[in-house]
Amino acid sequence: MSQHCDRVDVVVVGAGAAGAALTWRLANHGVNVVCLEQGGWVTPESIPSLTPQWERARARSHHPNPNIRKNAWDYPIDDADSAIRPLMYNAVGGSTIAWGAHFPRLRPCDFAVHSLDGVGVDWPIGYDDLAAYFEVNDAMMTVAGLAGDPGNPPRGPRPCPPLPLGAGAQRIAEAYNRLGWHWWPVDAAILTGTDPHRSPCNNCGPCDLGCPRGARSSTDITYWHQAIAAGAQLRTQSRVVKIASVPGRATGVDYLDADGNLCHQPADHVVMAGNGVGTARLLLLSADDWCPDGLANSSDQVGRNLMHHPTGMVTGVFHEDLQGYEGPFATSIVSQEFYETDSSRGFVRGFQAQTIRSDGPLGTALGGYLPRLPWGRDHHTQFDRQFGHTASITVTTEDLPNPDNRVTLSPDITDAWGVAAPKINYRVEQRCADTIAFGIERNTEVLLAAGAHEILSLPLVESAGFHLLGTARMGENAASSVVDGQCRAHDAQNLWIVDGSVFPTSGAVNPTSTIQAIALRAADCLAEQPMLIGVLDA
Amino acid sequence: MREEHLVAVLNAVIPARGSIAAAGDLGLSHEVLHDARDGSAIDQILAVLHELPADFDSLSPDDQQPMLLEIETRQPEHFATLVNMVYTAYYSHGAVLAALSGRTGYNPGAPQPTGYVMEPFDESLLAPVKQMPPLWRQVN
Repeated sequence: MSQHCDRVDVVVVGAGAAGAALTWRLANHGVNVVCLEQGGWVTPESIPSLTPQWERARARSHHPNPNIRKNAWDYPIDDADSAIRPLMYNAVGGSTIAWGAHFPRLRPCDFAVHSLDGVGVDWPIGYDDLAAYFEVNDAMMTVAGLAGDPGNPPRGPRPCPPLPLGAGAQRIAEAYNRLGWHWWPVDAAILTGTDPHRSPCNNCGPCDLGCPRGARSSTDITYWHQAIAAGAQLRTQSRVVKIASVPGRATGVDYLDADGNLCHQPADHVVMAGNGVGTARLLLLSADDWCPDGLANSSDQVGRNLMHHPTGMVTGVFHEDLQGYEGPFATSIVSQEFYETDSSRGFVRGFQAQTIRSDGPLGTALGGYLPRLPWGRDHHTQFDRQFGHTASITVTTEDLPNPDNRVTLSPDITDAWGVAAPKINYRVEQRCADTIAFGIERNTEVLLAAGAHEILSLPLVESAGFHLLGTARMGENAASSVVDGQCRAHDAQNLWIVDGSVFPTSGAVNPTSTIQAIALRAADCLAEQPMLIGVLDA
Repeated sequence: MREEHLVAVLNAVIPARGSIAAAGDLGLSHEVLHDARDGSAIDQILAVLHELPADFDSLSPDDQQPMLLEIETRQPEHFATLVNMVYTAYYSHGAVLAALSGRTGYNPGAPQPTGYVMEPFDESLLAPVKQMPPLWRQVN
């Protein structure tokens, strides 16, 4: 016998980047909305950058891979057949708890790759449909940066000034200038100005561990407090196990509370915001008599077309001590010199080149973004050459939909509650490998021009599965997509999906800014639904 | 079972440096075993150790290293797990971090609350970029 909750207008599954933005927007529309999050709140006092053992925590208890971290509220991921390891965090704030806060937007070309370049599919919406939402979201996420980038459409003044470059990025920026190539200080969701409730960035470095100052934005400290103040409910440690439905409609969700009690939350609308792995998993778990292959899956597209951003990395080793471990590790400058298609390269689409600072001592030894240091008699020599003396540049490529790259339900692995874990089948396509090879050559040019005396490269960073996209893609055709351009499921008109799973293609930039803009836009569409107009008028 | 060889293996993975003892002599073998049991990697560690000859401890470093390289070739994943655990224990050790601080000026403590200096961004660096035409494609 399950416990029954009072009916609400909207139940949202997942309190991460998308769920927080959408819930805040709905609450401000006056909608009666409750969000269910399987994790809990992360307190500032628990953040490992307050302890000398912060790198050990990063390698274990706060690793971005739930299979390594094994928090009580995580679920395992069967990734044995995946070339890239999916990463995520389960808590209020979702994966913005464990991110670098790089905050670019998709470019206009990213929404029309089939029309422009003959690959992938076009989106049913374009950059202009999201432009106003990008600006709202940038203000909420207190973005640091600088307007005026010729590499992107014009945007408003950035809410905060840019981050410092550090010695490594400074050399790389000067090298770009000598080569005549594009670069720009990144948009970063990091507070560098003033805020009554948060302290500005103090350049400490490991943003991915969380920020006890509240400088690095995560949605628990940006959106959620305001959403709750506007009337939204947030229930933590509430693990949704099924979306309940009748033919053509979602009726609510079943979830396990902190004590393992099965509860039912009825709602007029159900919104999925569980990321490109979690959302697909739950839709597949929600199979019923009328939808035996999973909810919203008459097209057989749920779980398919999983996209990451296959990433290569090039590292320059410098004679000078760059003290590269100082400063936000992922956010300094970015180059989009090679972002757009140039057919003379032999492949379509392009890549983003994001400068990465170097690591602490343990990170230097373990590698990950660069090769692990050798063990044995050469270990100390190599450590001294690299520690604090490196700067790296990514080759972040655009993944395109492949139906065989997919999320299914694991036949072997379950979470702590006995619910099937997601299984990932994923391989990197040759076009991405070709792009990475080209990008490694270009980044090598830059780093040599910057003064590096040694170049190290990785053709694929296996641990770069931060971006989980495409598994419930949007499109106008119900036979080949899961949701429409408003993020509403073709098969169930009151089921909405607003996370990265709706991306038809991936672009070659970090997706969170675009995910949140899509979620805000979906909230406005949802709030206009007939059944809610009475609420809004009241 | 060759757990008794773990100290020698750790010493071979990270040898002594100046006043800092090698990883095994620093007493990290217990920590590595504890972490391995905690993280379900104990079987991988023991699989590596099981390949060692009984007289491994008495061999010279010049003889130990090629022997371990052979095991690494045969069991790359298991050996990588061992190396990662040794690195994690070694570079979390207070004496190692203190010595590193002495050599480089690195702050061996917590990144917070002190952080590092925030230098202002020098916008003049962007002068040539600002002269560039738009680099993004217009889409209708």
